[in-house]
Formats: sequence, structure tokens, C-alpha cells
Amino acid sequence: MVLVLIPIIVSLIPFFIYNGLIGKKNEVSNALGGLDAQLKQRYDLIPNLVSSVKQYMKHESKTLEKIVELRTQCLKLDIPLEEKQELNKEISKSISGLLVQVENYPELKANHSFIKLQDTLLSVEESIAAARRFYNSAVTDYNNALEMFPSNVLAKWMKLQRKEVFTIPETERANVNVENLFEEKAS
Amino acid sequence: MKGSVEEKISNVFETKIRPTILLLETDRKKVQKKLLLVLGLTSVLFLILGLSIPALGGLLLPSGPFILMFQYKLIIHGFRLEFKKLVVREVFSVLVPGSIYAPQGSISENTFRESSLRSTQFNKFLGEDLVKGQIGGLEVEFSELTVSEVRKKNDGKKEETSVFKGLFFSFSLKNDLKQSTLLLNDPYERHLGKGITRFLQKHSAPAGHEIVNLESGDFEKRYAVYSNDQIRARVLLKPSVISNLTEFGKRNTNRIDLSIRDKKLYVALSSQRDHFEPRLFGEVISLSDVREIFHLINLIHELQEELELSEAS
Repeated sequence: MVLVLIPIIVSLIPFFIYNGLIGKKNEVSNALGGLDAQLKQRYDLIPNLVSSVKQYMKHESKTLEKIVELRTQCLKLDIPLEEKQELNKEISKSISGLLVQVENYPELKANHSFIKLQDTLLSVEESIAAARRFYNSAVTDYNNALEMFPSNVLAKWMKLQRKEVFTIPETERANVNVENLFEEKAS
Repeated sequence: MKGSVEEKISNVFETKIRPTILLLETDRKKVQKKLLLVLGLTSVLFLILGLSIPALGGLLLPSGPFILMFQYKLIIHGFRLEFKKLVVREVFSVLVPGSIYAPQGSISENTFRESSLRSTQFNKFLGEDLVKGQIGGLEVEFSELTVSEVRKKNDGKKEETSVFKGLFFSFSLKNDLKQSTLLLNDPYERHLGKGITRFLQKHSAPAGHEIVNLESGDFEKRYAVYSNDQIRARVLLKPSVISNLTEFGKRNTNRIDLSIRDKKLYVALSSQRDHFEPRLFGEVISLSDVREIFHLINLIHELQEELELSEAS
């Protein structure tokens, strides 16, 4: 009985590996879909943000225009993933810079609708960060399966390609020198 | 800091709890004497009957321990209640200010099942020492629970498997976190390695949940996280929270499992001891007993802080 079962089990192994690889590939797509859903939420908030702040923050009109422009580019349908990632990083940077500048506009700071919008934006930013972490986890699992034996054998035959995780640029990895920041602000 | 906390507990024990212990001292001695007399006489009677009528001895031998246990419970029943009403109530009034204590109350079976922290295959559910109040600004109710599954074996004997024993907490969160996430104590990765453990974890996920793989190896060696929403689970378990929980796990040896189901946080703190029972020989409750109870409540408070629930909720 055992002699019959062993070859059956061994012959099923490639099927399990194949299914595992497909499952991991789909998990990456699922994670990307989740990230897109969070980013869409942010895009939907941007018009509200712009209309709320523009009457108060007249000196920040360039930042607001930049955010609108970046949003328009992100909404294009066939934009490559790497480019979209860069654009979204720029949006995050611009929005967080804008929210810091709000400190200089006490009327806006006290506006109830703006406070609610700000809370929603911060919540969406947290969700985007969480969605990126999920994507990275799914990609890591997938890449491991592509490189580890024996699944790498089947992965090569299936022509599966390695994917890149979301990273931060080298410049952002360096420790922040607080003194320099103060000097930059003073100058 | 630790020194001053210890001093505070000692001070509270001497000023607030010791007076209640002294109130019970006379009753304790009476119950002690009664217990020794009744159990002693019953044992002697069984011995005499067993020796003089051998046929009766065959019946008394297996039933003797149960009869003695029944007598013991009957004799101390009133004293137990008195102890809980006077001493345990005072302990909780100090450790959980403003709380309401019900000695015979319990977390409901439904609440325990809803937490998904343990198997729902149980048929014996005992709870007592219910406390309702606030810990860390959140409404909470908790009690001691002993949950088990009793099965009949092929030979007709009963077999009892423990499902949970310890303190069980149910917190009401201020906001709906819109997820079902379980954080379970899982030390197997340290012994079995990552590959095997991940395979086992993936295939033992509760229905509707998936394993959530997080970035910290240290954290993964202590906990297994399951959730019905991979993104919301990571919003809750952000890097700072993961780091806090890892440190928390290193500091404490008690097994703690928790789950978040929408607006509820459930915490299961395993403990083999009954923390709120009186001693009949010696002090009904000692300073080290009170310190242990304080430590357990404080653990839960720390856990809340590590989860940064005041920000999340």
C-alpha cells in the first residue's frame, strides 16, 4: 500500500508547487488592488482639500496646483507601476508639507470641516502605509518562492518574473541631521 | 519607579485590605476548626466502617474523596462568599477604582465564544468574580473563567481537556475598528523554525481569517496574527506597536492572547491559579497575593498602552 502511495504523492508535488506559485502571484495582485483602493480614496479627497484650503492659504497656491497635477497624472489608466509609485510619493510629500503649513493659518486650523478632512487624510495615509506593507509582504513571499528550491524550477518553466518591493530612496534612509534642518529654516 | 509601586501596594495592603482580613479572622478560625473536625471524624468513620464491614469498604473507598470534597465545599461556602464580599471587593476597589464587583457573576459564554480566542468545542463553562469598570479609560468587564471539554472515553471514563483557565477581559472600544484580528501567543516558531510554523499557521487560520505576516522576526517568534482584513490589521499593528508588543512579550511570562472584533477588545490571560479564593490556614490573602493581582491588572493596562488603542480608537 505504502509503495503505491509514495509515487502518487511524489507525482502530486509539482501540482502543489504550481498551485502555490499561482496563489502567491494572485496574492500580489490582490495586495496591489488593495493599495490602489486606498490611493483612490486619497485621490477622491484631494478636490475637497484644495477647495477647503485655497481661500485661506493663498501663498500655497503652487503646492495646491502641484497636488492637483500629480493627482491628474495618477488617474491616467496605463501608467507604469514604478512611475505611479513615484507620483504617489510626491503627493504624500506635498500633502504632508501643506498640512504642516496649516499651523500658520489659525482660521483654517480652527475650521471644523477642515479638522475632519485632516483626520480623514491622516487615516487614509495610515491605510496607504499599511497597504504598502501588505504588498511588500506578498511580494517577498512570491519572490522567495521564485528563488527557493524546488519551486524555483517550476517558476522558471512558468516564466514568472521577480517583482520589486516598495522602497524609500537612499537619501531618505540617511539619519536626519536636526541641526541642518534648523540651519536651512533660518537661511 | 518599581520600588515606589511596591511601596504603594504595601501601603494599600496595610491600610485598606488588612482591616478587612482582621474582620474575617474569627470566622476563619471557626471554619478551620469545623473543617478539621468534620473531615477528621468522617475519615475515621469511613475507616472504622471499612475495616469492620469489608463489603462496605469497597463502596466507601471510591466515593470517600467525593463525600469529603462535598463536605469541604459545604463548610467553606459561606466563608468564601464573606471573603469575596469583604476582602476581594476591597482589593478591586483599590486596583480598579469605581468598579462594581459581583462574586458570583461571570463573563457570558457568548462573549467568550465571540472572542474566537479559544476553541468553541467546550461543554463546561464556569466563571466567577466578575468586575465591571474602567482600565486605561476603556470600559471593561472581566472575570475568572474555567472552560473545558468533557468527553466520555471508550471505557466509559470521563476525560476533561482544559480549553481555558485564567482571567478573561472584554473591553468596549470607543470606535469601531472594522476588523476581526487575533493576536495569539505562538512560541512554536522558536522551536520548529519559520518554514514549518508558517505552514501550520497558514492551515490553522480560523474561518474567514488569513495569517498576517509582519516585518519583525522577533515579533513573529512570539505571536501569530490572523485577520479578515490584511490592511486594517497592519493599520492597528504599525511598526511602533509591533516593537512595543515584542518588548512586552519579552518582559512577561504569562500567556496572553487577544482579539479585536470591531468595537470589542478581548484579552485572555492564562493562569492555573484561582486568584480570589481564601486561604484557611494562614492569612486569607497575603501581600504577595495582592501584588500578583495588581501585576495581572497592570499587565492588561500596559498591553492597552502598547496597542496604542487610545490613538486607534
